Amino acid sequence: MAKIKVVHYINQFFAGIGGEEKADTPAELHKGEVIGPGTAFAAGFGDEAEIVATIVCGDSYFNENIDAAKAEILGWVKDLAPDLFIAGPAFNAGRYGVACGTIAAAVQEELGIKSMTGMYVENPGADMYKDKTYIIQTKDSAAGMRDAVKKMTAFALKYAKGEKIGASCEDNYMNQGVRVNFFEKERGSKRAVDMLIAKLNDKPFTTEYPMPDFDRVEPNPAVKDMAHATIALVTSGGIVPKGNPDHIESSSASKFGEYSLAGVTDLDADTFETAHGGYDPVYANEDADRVLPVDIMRDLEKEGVIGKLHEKYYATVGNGTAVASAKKYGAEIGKRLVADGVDAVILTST
Amino acid sequence: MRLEIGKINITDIRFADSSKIEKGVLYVNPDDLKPVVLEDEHLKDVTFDIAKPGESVRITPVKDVIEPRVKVEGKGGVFPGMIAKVDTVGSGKTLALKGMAVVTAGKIVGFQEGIIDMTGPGAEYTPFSKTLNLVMVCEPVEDLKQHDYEKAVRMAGFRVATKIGELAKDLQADETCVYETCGIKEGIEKYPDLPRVGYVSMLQTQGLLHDTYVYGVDAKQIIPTIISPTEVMDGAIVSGNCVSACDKNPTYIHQNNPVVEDMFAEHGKSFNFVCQIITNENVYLADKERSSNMTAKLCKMLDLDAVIVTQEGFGNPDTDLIMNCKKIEAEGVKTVIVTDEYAGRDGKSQSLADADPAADAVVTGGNANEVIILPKLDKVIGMLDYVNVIAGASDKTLREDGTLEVEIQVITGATNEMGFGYLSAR
Amino acid sequence: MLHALVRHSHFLSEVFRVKYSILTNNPMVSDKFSSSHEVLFCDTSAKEILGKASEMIAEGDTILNHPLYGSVKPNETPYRTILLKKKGDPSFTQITKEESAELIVKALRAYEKFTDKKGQIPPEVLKDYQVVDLALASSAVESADR
Repeated sequence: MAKIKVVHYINQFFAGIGGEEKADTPAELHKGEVIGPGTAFAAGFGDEAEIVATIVCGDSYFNENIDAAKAEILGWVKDLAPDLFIAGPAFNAGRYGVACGTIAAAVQEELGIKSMTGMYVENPGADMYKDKTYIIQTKDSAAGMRDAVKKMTAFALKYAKGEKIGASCEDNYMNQGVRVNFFEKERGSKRAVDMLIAKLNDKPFTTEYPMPDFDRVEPNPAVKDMAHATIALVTSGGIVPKGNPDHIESSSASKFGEYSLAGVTDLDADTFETAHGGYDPVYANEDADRVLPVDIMRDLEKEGVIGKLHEKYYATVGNGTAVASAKKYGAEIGKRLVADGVDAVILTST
Repeated sequence: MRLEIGKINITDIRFADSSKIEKGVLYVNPDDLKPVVLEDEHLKDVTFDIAKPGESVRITPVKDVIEPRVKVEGKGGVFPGMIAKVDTVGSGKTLALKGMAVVTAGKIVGFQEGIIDMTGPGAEYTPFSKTLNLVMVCEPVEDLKQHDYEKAVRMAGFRVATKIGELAKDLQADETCVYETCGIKEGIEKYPDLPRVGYVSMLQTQGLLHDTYVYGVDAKQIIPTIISPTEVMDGAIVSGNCVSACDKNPTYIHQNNPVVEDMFAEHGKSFNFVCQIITNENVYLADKERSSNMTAKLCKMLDLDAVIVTQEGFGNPDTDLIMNCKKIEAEGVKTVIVTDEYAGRDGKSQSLADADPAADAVVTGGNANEVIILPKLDKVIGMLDYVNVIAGASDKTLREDGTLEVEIQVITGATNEMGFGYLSAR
Repeated sequence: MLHALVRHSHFLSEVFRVKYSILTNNPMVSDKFSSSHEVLFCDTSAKEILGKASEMIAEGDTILNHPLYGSVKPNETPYRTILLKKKGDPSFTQITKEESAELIVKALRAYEKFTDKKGQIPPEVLKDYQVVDLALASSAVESADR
């Protein structure tokens, strides 16, 4: 059988070009070259597969020129026509993870070429792409390279050869939200007894069927006296003072911002804009009240419907931001609002 | 209560002139068994057949699977309230014929599923491809009502299993297992440092073809109660359930309840296995509330630290399962629940009809909607007449080459919710 | 809007503890109960029966039996019978209007998971489905009238 042809995608760091300062390195095609982690993959593949080319791209370059970078890379991969496309592993590097997920998913969807990547479960790229390509679960840093390469190599060979992929726990990929049957080593009753003993002894156990996400929040009682209430605005729509002073990222935001509304009655194109990269920004940039309705709130304030609009507002970008991060921001924003004596909040998204 | 189960290993079943068990071989003369079946005026005829592991045989539609047993010491007889008198069973000694089963088959309703393949991919999904099966296909008298037909076949199965079990009465067991539970006080004194655990088994009790009997009582009329698992080994719980082949609990699985067996293995080591609690799965919502309240209360009154909860069937019972889990957890008793899933053919739908965050420890018997191609086998015991209308089938089921495209829900025991099988899903 | 045909409406509420109606598309259920109970017979699909039930719940009725009763899967059996307690009936209410609505929503969701058997069922098998549906409905009626 002919060797399986693999194209490998890595970032500037793993290619040895440099760290953050070289993150704007444009995409490069290295035909016939095996670079960085590719060497470990090649060793793992033995005679069964070979890396026919390595594509290197800076993380900032990819994420900021996403359409161009994607098109260029897809063009190369199409010409190379590999049997399998591997990106990463990205471990817990957020932008690298998103790049790996984006390009692997695109190769699969647009070129119909099998693709896979690897990263840490909390990498924002994992949530975004685990149902669009196979993502092998790795440790959170490059110290887990050996383990990652071992798992990814085993999966790559199985996948490229067209063997049946088992359930996520059997083949070490992240669950794609699809239930897959497989035969366990122990019968169900024994697994139940073992789980019971673990639960009794407060030891960790893994449920075989996680209940659907019930992250439901009980609504607070209605505000009785709106006429004297202080109301705050909070948005995940990325509305920031012009120039984005805190550099909130257009996707996978790593922070939220706190901004003053003192003396502001209307948001306009000269003073506010959106940092959000996930929707067409034209209308938000034209009039940011469309996302963060300060103008209406001021009207209500004047009419006496509400006591007053809180003098600060909070904003982040909900575009691909990890749920864990969003929770953290929410908790912190909540704490500050309570400290400021805010009675109620209007949350706006996009 | 203390029960010895003496195991008689059956290595072959053969038709012969006289019925007996010799050197592990069960010899059966169908003429001995026929009158036992036809005692019931509702049945016109019966045919017996033998299906062995590895043979190119398909049995369908399967109604019940029963392990022949006979009581040799202690009070009562097997299947109390059904065959034997309603004495309390579960102590003394019982002999069980291992490696074989009596399988009842016959079309009670047109859409009845239940396939046992003795070879091929389907055989991997059913535990009964590994047993030597004595199959009885019962034919009803004309115009027999479905209710009466179900009852006639159900009872005929128990009578035949009892008759065969009796052949073993004077035999020496190949192996003996002892199962013993303590009284409440005795257990506390004996295992002062061990957590107290119980087993809540939910019985299918929705109505015709969805019934379970406890000592002869239709379990939809019980309020939850405690029972010694050894009573169940003597046939105190029997199945009258014909629908949902993959996740119904045939009588055989009650007799060999896997949760009970695996809990006994840890009894006195990791925990004190206190008792089994039985509850039902009625269709009426107020009944569900009452039963789950009672079940949770019993767990509390027995001072249990944890329980395993198993269910039977699809849809409606998911609600009972979640109610039980939620209310038992609310009493401070930890739970592990055993279920199966209907996640759709693509595995993308929500698996259960109900859900709750309290159910944080779940064991699954797999996705019953998974599609499988069953090859054409040389022989069919029973009939394939309505195979296109059984659950999980479609008009494309019976393919031109004789293969069947079905969901695994048609296979008897495929996704058993007592954890009898090895199938799971992630 | 579904066309609901009220066959007979003997209001024997004083006899029963719970005042309810039986919504069904199963002719056998209608035949058995229409002389003793209020039966709303709709000649429609099982799924539409659930839809009709949810309209009645919106008006204030509450459901008495589980809408996914029976191991015969949604879309396999063409029949569905739902017991609905009337708005304003003073007897105890097990579940609220909201919980009733949620049960119906969950049941309707289950219909997406199973192949629709419409038109593939031979008439003799249809009868069997009716019998089983009647048995399961009767088990609910028994509980309700107890």
